[in-house]
Amino acid sequence: MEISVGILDDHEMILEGLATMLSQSETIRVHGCWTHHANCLEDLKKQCPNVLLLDINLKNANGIELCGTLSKTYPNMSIIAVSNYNESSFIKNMLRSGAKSYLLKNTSREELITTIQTVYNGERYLPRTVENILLEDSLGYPKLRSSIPKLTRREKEILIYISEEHTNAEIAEKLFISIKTVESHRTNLLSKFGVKNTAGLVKSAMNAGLIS
Amino acid sequence: MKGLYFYGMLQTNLKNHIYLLKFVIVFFLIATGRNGFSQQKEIDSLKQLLLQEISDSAKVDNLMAISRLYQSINLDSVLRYSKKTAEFSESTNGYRLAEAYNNMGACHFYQSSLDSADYYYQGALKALGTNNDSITKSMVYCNMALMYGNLLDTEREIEYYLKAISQVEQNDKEVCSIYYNLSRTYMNSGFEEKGLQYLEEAYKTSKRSKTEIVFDYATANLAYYGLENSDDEMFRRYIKEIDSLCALNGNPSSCYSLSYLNASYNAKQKQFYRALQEYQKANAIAKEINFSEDIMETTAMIARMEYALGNKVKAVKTFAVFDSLYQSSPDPDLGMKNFNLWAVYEASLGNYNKAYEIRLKWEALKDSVFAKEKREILIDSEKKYETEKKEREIAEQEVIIKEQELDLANKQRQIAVWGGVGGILVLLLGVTFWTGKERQKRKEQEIKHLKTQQEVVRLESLVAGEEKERIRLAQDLHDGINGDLSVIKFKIDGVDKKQMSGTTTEGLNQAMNMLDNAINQVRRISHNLAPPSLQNFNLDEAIKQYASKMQTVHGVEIDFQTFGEIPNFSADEETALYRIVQELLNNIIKHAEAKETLIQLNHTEEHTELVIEDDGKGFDTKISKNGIGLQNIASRVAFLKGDLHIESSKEGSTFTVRIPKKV
Repeated sequence: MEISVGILDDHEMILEGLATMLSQSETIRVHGCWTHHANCLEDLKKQCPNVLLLDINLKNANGIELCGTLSKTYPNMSIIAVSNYNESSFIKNMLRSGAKSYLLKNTSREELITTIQTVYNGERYLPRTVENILLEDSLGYPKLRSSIPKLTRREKEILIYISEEHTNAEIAEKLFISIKTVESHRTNLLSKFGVKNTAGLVKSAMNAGLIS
Repeated sequence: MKGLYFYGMLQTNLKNHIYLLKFVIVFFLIATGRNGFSQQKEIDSLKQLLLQEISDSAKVDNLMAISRLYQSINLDSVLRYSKKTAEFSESTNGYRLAEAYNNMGACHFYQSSLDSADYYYQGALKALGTNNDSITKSMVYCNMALMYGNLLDTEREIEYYLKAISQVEQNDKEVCSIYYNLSRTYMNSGFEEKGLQYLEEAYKTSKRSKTEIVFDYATANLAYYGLENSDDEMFRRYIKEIDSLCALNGNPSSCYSLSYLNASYNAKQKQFYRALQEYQKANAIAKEINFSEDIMETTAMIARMEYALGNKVKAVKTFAVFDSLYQSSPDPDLGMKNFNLWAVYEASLGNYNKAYEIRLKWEALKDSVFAKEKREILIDSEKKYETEKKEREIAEQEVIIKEQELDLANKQRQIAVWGGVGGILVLLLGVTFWTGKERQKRKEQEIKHLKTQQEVVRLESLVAGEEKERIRLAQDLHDGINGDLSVIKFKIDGVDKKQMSGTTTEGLNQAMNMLDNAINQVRRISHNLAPPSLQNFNLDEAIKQYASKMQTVHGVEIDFQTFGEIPNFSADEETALYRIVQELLNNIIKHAEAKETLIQLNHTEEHTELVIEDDGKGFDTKISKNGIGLQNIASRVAFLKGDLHIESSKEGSTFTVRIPKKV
């Protein structure tokens, strides 16, 4: 079974390069190439390829938004984002918008063809390099890596005053800051410890050994 | 007195609106309002005078006057006499040399030899040197602007108009026509707001200085702008003025504008018959003044009205008249606007061949219009000028500060004198001293305020300029070079490896790896220059990405937490905050030897607070305060109108940036 592939990228040479790479594969047929998203949308209405290679950084359109619309309109077409951006926010946003895969522009022919064949079957697929970016991102930001939240020095100070039963006004006076600032520090502390009120805050802070 | 050389010209802007804008061209030094016969007589008598024994300066004056008088008769003679003037002036005392060069430049300009024109204009500027003849200087600049306009170099066109304006800003009579020309340039390039602003300036200055022709044009255009933008109040306000101009002075140009505007108004109200009558009136006046563009414009409008009234045959015939006028003096803008319509009219009568023929003419014209290109250039020059303007503001403020400081010094001296006055004045002295002190305090505050204001203005232009440059560079790298590198990789990847030896394949694979390396490096550089997350998402996301990257690369622990809603920061402000985080984090990684770093962004009702803390070895805040890194941070903090607080000890450092919420 032959897989038809469409390519939307405003860099003409990339378009050509990708098309040439794909033309050497026997199972893949290049269905259409567009440098402008409007032309692409027009052609998709008539006939829609199995797989679409979509650039994020388009001249007159936002690739992420476009991906969202296209994946809704053509649920049977698998979209692969092809971009020079290697930041996790782009990868996540594209996947969230319905892309089945994300490739960096310096992908190899082998990787490209494997990806196309995999997503054609409706599966999601990420090459190792992209997977690593996402992995590093989530390893760097665990939701609850330790039970002790990170506090700034000022927050620690305020926490101690709170545990000594000082009011916001008193703390403000001692630290030469406004009451509103103290209030915001207090709210942040509650949210950092995931507690509802001062009693909970003091209890959690004592458990964490931050106050005695 | 300086004269205006002008010809009527209807320009269209990008939206295909017709603005009544006409060319006003600043040209020679004196206007000539006399008829050809008396001019010839005057020239003859001046030539007689040349034969007599007169002083060198008088001779220059005389030659100059002759060249001026030829202005409406024969351009070649103007050029000849200007040349004579220049030669004579050069060989004697250089008296009025710049003016002579300017006139020669203008002659060449009208003969379309722009290189020569440029040469003489430059010569004029050189001849002026440090001379403070601001009027001549402004005129040369203005003529150069016209020249650049002709070369479609809008950037320089605007630059030179602005230069011209800066020379004669206080002189309403001189400056009004330049404002007018500049507004025309802006309007034609699609910058309506700027165009309108300068049009209003032209209106004000020409009204004050009673410069009739500019006042006439400016008012008519303002009225037309009101009409086009459905601002009835504006339309009425200005058309009243034109009405009185026409009624009082019987000035044909004003009367033309009045009829034309009334016609347009009626056409807009779909009162086509009335509109037709008014256009016919305008057409008659245009014929009287003999402005070919005006005649063509009104003819075309008449055709449109006929068509709207259902007289298709008449409409087509009128367009044929328009075409014959067009053949003798082609005006691409007018052609663009009308040929298309004419084709439609012909087609509606079933004359398909004719329609096709006209349509082809239109297509050819369309291709020759550079509108888009022009607009892009303009955006750049706009930015550049804004920076210049800010610099000027800074200079002005510096002067104010100097004055105030002087004032303050005087005050202080006064107080000292008062202190010497004895006994009886003791009470008085007390009072005066007190008020003096108060006033001194107030003055000091004012100075401080001005100084911060000045600082902010400077920083804004600095920061904006730097960021703009970074983004441009990043884009070139990211989209340009990296795109190309990827294509090269594709090409190598596409080579058929089956027929190659093992070593060749290995070489190819190595080359591909090297390309990957290069691509990654370019990507890293480009993303450092302008973080894509910041442009595509928001500050939180960008900081998160950066922290994550630094953590992976340097193996240190970096936490990032944010509280509250990001307030409405502008892109510049977000970038400034991002750069502060970037710089501080870099410093920490380079110098602090920290294990953990905490970045916290806290948006509250009162302010946004950025805290960056490390558990490193700390530093001496007194010594490091002036390091370049910290200076960069300080200038960005100042740009955000915030304050920076640094604490450091052996246990680590805390950097706190607080930005008050905008009111």
